[in-house]
Amino acid sequence: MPSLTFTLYGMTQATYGSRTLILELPENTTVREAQIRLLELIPLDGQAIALATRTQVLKPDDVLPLHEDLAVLPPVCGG
Amino acid sequence: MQPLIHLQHGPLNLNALITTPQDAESGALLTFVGVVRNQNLGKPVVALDYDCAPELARQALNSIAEDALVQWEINTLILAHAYGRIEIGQPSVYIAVGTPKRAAAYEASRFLIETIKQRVPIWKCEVYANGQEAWLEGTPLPEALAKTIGETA
Repeated sequence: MPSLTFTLYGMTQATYGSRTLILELPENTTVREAQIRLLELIPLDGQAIALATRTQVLKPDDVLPLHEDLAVLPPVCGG
Repeated sequence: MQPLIHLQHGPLNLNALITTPQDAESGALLTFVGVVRNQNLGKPVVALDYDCAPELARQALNSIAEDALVQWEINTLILAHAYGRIEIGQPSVYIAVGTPKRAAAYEASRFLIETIKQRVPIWKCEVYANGQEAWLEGTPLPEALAKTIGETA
């Protein structure tokens, strides 16, 4: 099974305790399925996460790209 | 016109950002500067530590600028955001909007700062005087999913 490395941002990093999270996921895993798996590992108390490549936020029905740098994005609060 | 998008580690250098319209058509140049304040909800804050996904943030800032250019007649547009540790009083956000009339500048500037808070992948961690830290809650991106299966933000 492919091993994917996710970069964690904001409160996901603090909650998980590391900047990166490595997860084995089967090919053709959807973004939604990956989000559910990640939320099992990162207890965010109801906060939602989005997944992204280096350049694009992924939609839940997208198939997770296996050869991209992946990011976990909690709710944003810039400014 | 081509907006200027600037993202940097560390506090913004306002002297390098402050500008005057280079066109003869703007009668208003409105600037907004967001600075780190020394308290939040009664808790003394000593700094903000911004986390950032830089490439995604640049793209989001560009997209927000394009949305503003569609809505208002803008001749000058600068969006700048800092990340990393920013101390009390230091600038973290800078917006400059040049328009023919002031009403459009005020509207566009308000749109820009509110939309930056909702769409740009940047996160704030408050650092308190007692050494504790807390990530501030924010706005889920439209593609986000919460813990309950099927529950989207």
